[in-house]
Amino acid sequence: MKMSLNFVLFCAIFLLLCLLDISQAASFEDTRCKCVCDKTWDASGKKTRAVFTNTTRSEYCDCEHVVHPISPLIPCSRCLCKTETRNTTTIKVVVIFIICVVLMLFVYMLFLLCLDPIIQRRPANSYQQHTNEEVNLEDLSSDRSAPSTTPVLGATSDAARQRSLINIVQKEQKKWKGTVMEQRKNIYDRHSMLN
Amino acid sequence: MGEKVASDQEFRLSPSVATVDQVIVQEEEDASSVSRNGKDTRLTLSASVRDLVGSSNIMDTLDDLPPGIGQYDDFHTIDWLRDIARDRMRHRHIVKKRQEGCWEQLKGAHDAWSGWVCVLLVGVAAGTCAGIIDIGATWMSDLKEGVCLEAFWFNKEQCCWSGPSLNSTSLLADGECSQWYSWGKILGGSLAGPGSYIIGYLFYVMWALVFGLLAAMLVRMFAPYACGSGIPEIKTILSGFIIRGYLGKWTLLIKSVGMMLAVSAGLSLGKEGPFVHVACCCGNIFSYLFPKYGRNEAKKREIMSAASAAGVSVAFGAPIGGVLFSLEEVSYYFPLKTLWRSFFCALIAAFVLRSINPFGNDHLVMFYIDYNEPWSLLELLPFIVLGALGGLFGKFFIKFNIMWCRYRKFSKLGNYPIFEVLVITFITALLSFPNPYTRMNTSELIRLLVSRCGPEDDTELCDYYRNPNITDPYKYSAVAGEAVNSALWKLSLALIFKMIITIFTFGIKIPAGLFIPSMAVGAIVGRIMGVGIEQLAVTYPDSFFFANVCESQDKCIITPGLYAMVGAAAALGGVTRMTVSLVVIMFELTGGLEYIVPMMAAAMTSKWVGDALGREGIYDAHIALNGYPYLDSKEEFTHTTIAADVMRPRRNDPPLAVLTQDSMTVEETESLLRNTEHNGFPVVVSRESQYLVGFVLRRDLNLAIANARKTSEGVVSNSVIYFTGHVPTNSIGPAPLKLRKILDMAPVTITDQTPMETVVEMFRKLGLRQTLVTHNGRLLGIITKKDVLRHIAQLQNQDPESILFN
Repeated sequence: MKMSLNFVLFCAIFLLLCLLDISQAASFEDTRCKCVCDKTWDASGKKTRAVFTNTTRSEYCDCEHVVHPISPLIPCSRCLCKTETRNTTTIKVVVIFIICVVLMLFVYMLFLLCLDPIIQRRPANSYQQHTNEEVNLEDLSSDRSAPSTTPVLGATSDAARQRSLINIVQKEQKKWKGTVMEQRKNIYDRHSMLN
Repeated sequence: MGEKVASDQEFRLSPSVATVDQVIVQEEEDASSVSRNGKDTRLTLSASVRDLVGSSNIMDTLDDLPPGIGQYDDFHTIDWLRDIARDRMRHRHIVKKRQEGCWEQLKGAHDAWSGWVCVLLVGVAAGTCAGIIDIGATWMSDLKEGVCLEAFWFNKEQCCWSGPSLNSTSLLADGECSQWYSWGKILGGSLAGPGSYIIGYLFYVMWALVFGLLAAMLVRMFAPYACGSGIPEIKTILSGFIIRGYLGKWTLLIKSVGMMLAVSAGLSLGKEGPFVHVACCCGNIFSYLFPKYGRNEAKKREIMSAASAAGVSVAFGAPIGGVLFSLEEVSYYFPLKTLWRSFFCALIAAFVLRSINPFGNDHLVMFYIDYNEPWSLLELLPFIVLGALGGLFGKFFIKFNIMWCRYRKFSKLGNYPIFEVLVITFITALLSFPNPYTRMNTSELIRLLVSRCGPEDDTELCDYYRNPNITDPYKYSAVAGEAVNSALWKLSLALIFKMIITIFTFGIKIPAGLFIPSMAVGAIVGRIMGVGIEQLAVTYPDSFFFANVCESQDKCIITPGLYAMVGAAAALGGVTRMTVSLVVIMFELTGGLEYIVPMMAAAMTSKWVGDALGREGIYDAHIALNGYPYLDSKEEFTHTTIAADVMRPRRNDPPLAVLTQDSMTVEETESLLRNTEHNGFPVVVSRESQYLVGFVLRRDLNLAIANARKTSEGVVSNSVIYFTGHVPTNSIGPAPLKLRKILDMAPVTITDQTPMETVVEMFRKLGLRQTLVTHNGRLLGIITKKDVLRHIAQLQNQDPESILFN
């Protein structure tokens, strides 16, 4: 479970970095001064309202500095000026991160739905899957305690070590799947929780 | 045969031992030095003084025990007393070791501040999660309508943030924004017209379906526990129940993503309730960094109480409200230390969220209001009416939602969770697009409703004939224009739609909160009422009622936004039955102390009306529906039953399964473990005398025996298990197995004549998992928390078998 989660997060961050390089933002400002004047300023009532936005510093953000240079006719008592700030980089990073995470989850879900059953059916995986029933702690605490590795005889070569690593990953995944299966049974089949 | 001999010996030996012990204990008690926990009936029963003194050191050597001792199985109840005692032992151990050197001192210091560090981390994590979710949800919601082509990561508001043209001031209306491309504009090429509308409609429904389907699939695939609001379960968990995986990493990830998708799908649900779940997940995950909390379920719940405060803190930008929410609604055990930690955690979370600034408005929530208009005393009347309406709505909502959820639980509908999500999404999207007030994000709707009409507002709701000759035209009420009328019509339709669809939405298998939809319903009612009263005041400014409201003929101050705020508070209060925390949350939202009294009046009326119609709030109702073992501390127990009526074994049951302290072999114990399903066994001096020694948990016993068989030499099936302090060394036969370490020597006992009122109170206040019942000092039976719950359910004429995982 930990492995797959880490994998998802890792890929997400990688994609994020790639996308950050590609996308050079158009000039969207981080600070604005927005002045809004309502329609009562214009007796004829044709122009409903006026919005002024500029990016001057906040000390110049008032009606005199923003509205008057453009349309001196508007009475300043009908206008409201506010300085606002935002962080475009945060928004960009967060949104791209979210897209990546959702995509990763989606791809992983498709993998589990379509490809995984085919792989599982293959008889090549004939190693024994012994589940450790003895200590049924929370999945989280199992991250803490070292997972009991299946003893690999003569694991001197890299290939053997790699295989044992894959075994660990597969075992973790198996365990995680078992947990999710149990949760699914509780909620979708037995309807004993979260109704 | 062997057993008989052993018990015979036991029988011969025990009376003398008991008498000696009794004498010594008597002396000790006279000196009043021993009785640490006042009601120690066991003192006079069997435990020797040596045992008693020794018992304080049991846990010191817990490290030698196999891993897993002191943990609990899935769907079990925790024993608060035992866990707190364990923590005290651990703490004493650290204090003792502190003298041993610098390193140990450092370790002690780390232990002392680890609680604060943990809540700091939880606060940071909760704030970050909330920031990400807020940004993501607004962006995805707007994706239904269009996209910001130049910078796709902006939502509509952010896209048009810098004004129609960059870096220059202009005189254009706000509505047109050249950077934002609606789907109709991209595909149809035109901004208005039926073609564009139809394309927009199609895309809206399509995106909603995609988001809804994705949310439902992700939840089903990766973390089924991520569905729902989570607050009933958090309440149950905090009251001392174990649901493994409910607060895990996958749940956190899927709940966060699912929340964004579900809100973006335009469903009538909010992300504020699930924030509590998300924050609690953070709390659980970070508590594993600190063994003090990670390995002790009772201590972990202290962190989780603080985390739930952080959840509300970031959901509403209300740190104090969050702390009070944790205290009033969620937490079960809330010592002062936890209060301060919750305060700190909520503060950190709010601070982090504020520095992320997800809405770009320098506030933590979308619907922040900053007006400060006065209200007159006579307006309390409509506020109280709003409160009553809120209470009515709460009852109506709870009744039908529970009915529908029960139907879903027991009918075939429950077998098609994803299909159900799709259908609800389709209906919601189809019906909400035509109405602008349902089409927009619900948070935005609330913002619109609670805000005052100012110069920057150009919406239908703000179409008033203002008098431009007064100095401050927006302060005073004015005659409404045509557009306000049509807005009210649309709002009424939106109200009916939201009230009905929320009933069906809350409970589908995606992350779904209840705060926002119920607040929206209340806000709509409030706004409509506010506008009505405003127009009355404007029309009859001279009448008796509005004498205080109006300074002069055209200077009446009635703020419809305030009515919407009060209405929102009332509806939320009616559904959740919160009072104090609700009012604090609301006034933290409004940022002024001006409106506390209206909120209080509305919240109180809402609770009264709601309670008069039905006692339980939505969360308690869902706890009851699911049969979680939650012993409500709000309800009173008023029946006259006694402990003997509730205790097990019943009259016709087989006798209580007990262990003896020094005569049972490993084999006998194992067969007892195989043949029974009890979660713990009392240990007695002998089967004949039935004097109580202590209590041992099944899980611990299993682990200890399995561990001993593996590691210690000479332990075979014939080995005798000793729970006593001294083991006869000269005995022939296989090596003995000493299990004193796992024995709880201080189980809480009551007599069989104890009234259930007292017993229930003990279960609530002390957080017991079980209590042993004695008669004339002999062990008679046992009462567990689930027995108590079953008993209460029986007395209330409910089905006692509905309690989860009996």
